Amino acid sequence: MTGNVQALAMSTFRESVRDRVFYLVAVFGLIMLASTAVLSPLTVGAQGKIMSDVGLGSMVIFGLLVILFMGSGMVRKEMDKGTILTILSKPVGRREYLLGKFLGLNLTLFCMLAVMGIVFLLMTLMAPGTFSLRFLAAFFMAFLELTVINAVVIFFSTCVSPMLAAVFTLGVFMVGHLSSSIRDFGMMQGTVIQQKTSVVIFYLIPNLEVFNVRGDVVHGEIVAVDHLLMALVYAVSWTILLLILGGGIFSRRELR
Amino acid sequence: MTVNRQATLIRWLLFLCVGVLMVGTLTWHDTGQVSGGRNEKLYFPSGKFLVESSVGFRGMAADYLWFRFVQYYGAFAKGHNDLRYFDSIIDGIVRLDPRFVEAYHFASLVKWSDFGDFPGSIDMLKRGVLHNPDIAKLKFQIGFTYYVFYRDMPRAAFWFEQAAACSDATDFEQRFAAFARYRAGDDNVSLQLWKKLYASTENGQIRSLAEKMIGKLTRRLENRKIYGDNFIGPIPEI
Repeated sequence: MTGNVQALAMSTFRESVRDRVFYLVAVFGLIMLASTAVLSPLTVGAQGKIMSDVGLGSMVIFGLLVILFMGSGMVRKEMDKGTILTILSKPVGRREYLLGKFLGLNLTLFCMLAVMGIVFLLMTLMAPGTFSLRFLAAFFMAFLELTVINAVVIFFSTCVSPMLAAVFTLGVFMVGHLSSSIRDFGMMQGTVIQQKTSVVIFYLIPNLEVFNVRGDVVHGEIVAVDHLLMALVYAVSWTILLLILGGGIFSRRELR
Repeated sequence: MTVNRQATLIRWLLFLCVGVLMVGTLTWHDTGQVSGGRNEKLYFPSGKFLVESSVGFRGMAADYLWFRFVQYYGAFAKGHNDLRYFDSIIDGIVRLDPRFVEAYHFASLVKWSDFGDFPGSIDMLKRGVLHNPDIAKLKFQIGFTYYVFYRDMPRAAFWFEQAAACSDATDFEQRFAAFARYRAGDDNVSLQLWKKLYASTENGQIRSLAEKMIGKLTRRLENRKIYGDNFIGPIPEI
C-alpha cells in the first residue's frame, strides 16, 4: 500500500512541477522585492512590519491558489483522460489513489513554502531588525492551514465538478476565518435556533484562525509550543476526517 | 501598396489611436479637469467591517490602508484634500492591526500639527498604549505632548517614567523623566532617577550630565533641610 501511495504522490508532484507551479515562487520573490525596495518610501517607519505581513500573507495566498487550481481538477482531469481507469485497474485502492493525490499536492505545497520561506528570510535581511527565526512558526502554521485546505479540496473534488470544488473550497477558506465571528453574531441573536445554528457552523467548518499567527509573529511574539502542537493535532484531525469522508464518497462513485 | 500592407498599417494606426486615447483620458483625469475630478473619491468602510472582510489577512489589509493613508496625507500636503477621511482611515488601520505602532504615532502627530487637536492626539496615543503597553515610543510621545504643549510637568514626568519602564526604553526616556521631575519640583524623585540613570548608562556624556544633576539636587535638598522651603540661594557677598 505504501508503495502505491508513494508512487501516486510522486507522480502528482511531478505533474505539478510540469505545470510550472514553481513560477509562482518567482512572482512571490518579485512581490517581496517590491514590498522592500519599491514601496519603502511609503512605509514611513513600518518597513519591516509591512514586508513581513506581505511575505507571510502572500505565502498563504499562493498556496491557496495552487490548491484551488490544481487540487480542484485533479481527480476530474484523470477521469476525463481515462488514466484513472488504468491506475485503478492495477492493485490500487480508490482510497490509496486519493491519499496519493493528497500527499503529492501537499509535497508540492511543502516545497513551495520551503523555497518561499528561504526567499522571505533572505529578504528580511534587507530590512534592519526584521530577520528572526520566529518566522518559522508562521511557516509551519501556514503549511498546516494549507494542508487542511488541501484535504477540503480533495474531499470536494470527489463529489462535485472542478469549478464547484474550487468555489466551495474558497468558501470554506473564507468561512473558516470567520467562524468565530459567525458564532459570536449568532449568540447575539434572540432565538435559540439561531444561536444553536451558529454553534453548529462553528464546529462544522475548520476554524482556520487557529493557524493564523502571522500578526503575532510579525509583532515579535513567540508562538507557544502548546499552540503549535494543538494546531498540529487540529489540522491532522480535520485532514483525516476529510480524507475518510472523501474516500467513502469516491469509493462509491461510478467511474466511466 | 498591397492589401496586406494596408491592413497592417490600419492595425498599427488603430493601435496608436487606442494608446493615445488611453494616455489622454488618464492624463485628463489626473489633472482634475473632469467634472468633480478634484473631489475626494475615497470611500472607506468602517473598521469593524474591514476586520471581518479581510478574512485572516488583517495585517496585509492594514498595510494596504496605511499606503493609502500615506498617499492621502501626501495629497493633503499638496492641497488636494482636507483630510476629512482621516479618522475613518486611521480607525480602519488600528482596528485591523491594533499593534501598528507607527499608525498611532503618525496619526497623533497629524492630529496636533495639522488639526491643532492636542487632546485628540493624546487620545490616539493612549489607544495605542492600551494595545501596546510595552512600547516606549507611544508613552514617550504622550509625555512629550504634556511637557511641550501643556507644560504639565507632573503628568509629563509620569508618562516619561512609564516609557522608561518599557523593555525597549533607552537612556533617552529616563533622562526626560528625570528632567520633568526636576521641573515639576519633585527633587527627591528626580534625584533617584538621575542616580538610576548614572548607574545604568553607558554613554559618557549622559553620565557626566547625571553627575552634575545629582550634585545640584543633593545641594538643593541639603539647603532645604537646613533653611526650609523659603531658601532662595546663598546671600551674595557685598
